[in-house]
Amino acid sequence: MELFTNLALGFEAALTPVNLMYCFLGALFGTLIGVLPGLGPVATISMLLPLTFGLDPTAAMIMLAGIFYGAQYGGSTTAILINLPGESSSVVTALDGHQMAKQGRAGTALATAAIASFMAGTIATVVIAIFAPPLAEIAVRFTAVEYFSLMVLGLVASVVLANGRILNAIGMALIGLLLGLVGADINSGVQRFTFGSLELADGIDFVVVAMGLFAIAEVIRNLEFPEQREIMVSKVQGLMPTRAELKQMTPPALRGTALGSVLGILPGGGAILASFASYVLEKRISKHPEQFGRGAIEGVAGPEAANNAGAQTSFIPMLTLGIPSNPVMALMIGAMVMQGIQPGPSVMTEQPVLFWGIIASMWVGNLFLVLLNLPLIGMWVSLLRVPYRHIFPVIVFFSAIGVFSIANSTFDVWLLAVFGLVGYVLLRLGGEPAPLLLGFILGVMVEEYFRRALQISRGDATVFLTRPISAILLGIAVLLILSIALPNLRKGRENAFRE
Amino acid sequence: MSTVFAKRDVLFGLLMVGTGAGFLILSLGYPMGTARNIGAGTFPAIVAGLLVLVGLGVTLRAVFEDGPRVHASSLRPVFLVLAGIVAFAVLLPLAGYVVATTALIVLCARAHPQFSWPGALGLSAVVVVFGAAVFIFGLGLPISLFGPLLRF
Repeated sequence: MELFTNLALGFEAALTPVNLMYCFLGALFGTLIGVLPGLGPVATISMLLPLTFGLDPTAAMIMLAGIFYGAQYGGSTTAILINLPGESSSVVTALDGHQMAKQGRAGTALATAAIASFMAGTIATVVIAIFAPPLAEIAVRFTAVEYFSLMVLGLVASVVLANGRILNAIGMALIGLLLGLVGADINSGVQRFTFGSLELADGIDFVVVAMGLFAIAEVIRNLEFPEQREIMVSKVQGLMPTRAELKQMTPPALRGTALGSVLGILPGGGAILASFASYVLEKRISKHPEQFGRGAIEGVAGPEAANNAGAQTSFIPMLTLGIPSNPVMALMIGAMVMQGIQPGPSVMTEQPVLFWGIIASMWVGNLFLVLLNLPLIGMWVSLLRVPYRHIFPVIVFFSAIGVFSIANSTFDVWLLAVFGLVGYVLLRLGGEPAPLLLGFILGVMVEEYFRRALQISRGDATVFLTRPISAILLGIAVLLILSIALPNLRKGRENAFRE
Repeated sequence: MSTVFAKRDVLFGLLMVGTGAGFLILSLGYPMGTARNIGAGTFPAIVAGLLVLVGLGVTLRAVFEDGPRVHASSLRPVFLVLAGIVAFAVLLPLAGYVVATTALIVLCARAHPQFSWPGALGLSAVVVVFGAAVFIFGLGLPISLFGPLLRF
């Protein structure tokens, strides 16, 4: 029963009063910022990241896990109440959740989202505890060759799952890789793409890129296309679902959890895919599919559970392999590196308290969300009443002072403006920011594994194809690209995004 | 000609080609090493080369197909939001936190069609107090409330 001793170790770390407090604060602030319209989890987490800088690694990661869940749930609240999903995975929640809100069942919709997420979170925590150790064992045997191929697969998956044209997304990932290489080459110390600037020698901080692309660019775009917002916040009543409603939401939530857990492990943004897949599944097997889109409780419970389970199991490749499967995990890796932890299979064996502490605090974070959100929903609602003209300057301020606090340097604030502009131009040209950020985070790692792989093979580049695991990983990457190139499947993908 | 450049993917493709070419030229200036021990320029050169190829592909495809176009829009929000961030960066070490934050909030707020001076100044006051509480007194950022320019 190693599983239980491991989890017990984790809960021991997570349940200390101090760490509980950080988890709680994380969930509170995460929801507070995440509920603001137009801010998804990536922007929220990068804005709140500076709060964790002064903490010890375990406390910092536990607080981040809280922020992460808060941000996720805040996004769902916004999606349900004002039909303005902050990120693509709550797009699905908005479909039926907002309809429910219109019918005066906002309370039920919010409670459904919270309860379904909690169910999913509980199960996914166990899934992680079961699957992470064997995966880490395999990962220990990986050499640079396998790591390189795995990262290529991760990048390809992020490209395939990006909304839009695949070549454009590949371009974004490549631009991200190049930006990630800016700074001193870790092997030879050669200054690359710095134009002699000392501030750039350490490379560009990922928080600056994330905030520029996801917060600033988004603010500018929102200002250019002012949307009509229907605010369903007159009064949220009937928060607790009836027994019948609980019964109705449980099976979809469980199915969503199963879907989400599997898809979340895949590299490349599983959570988004999971919520779409769950919605399609629920609609297909429902006895009354005509209610979907008109406020079906299953249409909220399934995708929310899938979204949360997927978000949680995407920690598996991050914690065991050190590979981010989506921009949020990329941020988590960046945060870990900042704390002096190199994510990878050794974290579990060398820092078991940290590893299992993070996993346990995910569950604790989920619990806090239910406890926090059901009573505090009135507060989030009043936050949503604040007009956008008062919100966006505050977002810009938090971004600016946030990047300043990374290194107490105004140079990073200038860079924020630069990446805000870059992100805005790319958004206007239809580029997806997610592959760029992933490429940016992976840039140095990909190069390092590529270099080491060639050293192992004495300069023979065919090594990536002659090693079986590496060949399989690259084969999957090729299949993924082909699956998009084939017209039938492409249609399916477009439908999934449209639905 | 002008219609070709109004196509979104043509612009995007050309942007990729330009970015890739820029990085490629710089990369070629760094040591290339050998296949067994690649140099600082090898990997970026490969990636930049791929970016040029992908960019060419996107551009050519877009020229021959009917794709989405770029629509003109007001440059005011871009300009004002970025100006707010730059003002914050410039003013923070010179005039201090209070002035820098007020400048950022007011410049950004002007980007909204319903801008009003009382509203923007009121918002600034709230943000200045709240931000100071969190970042200066709470997190202990080394920023002075009033910078050297304002000290006599």
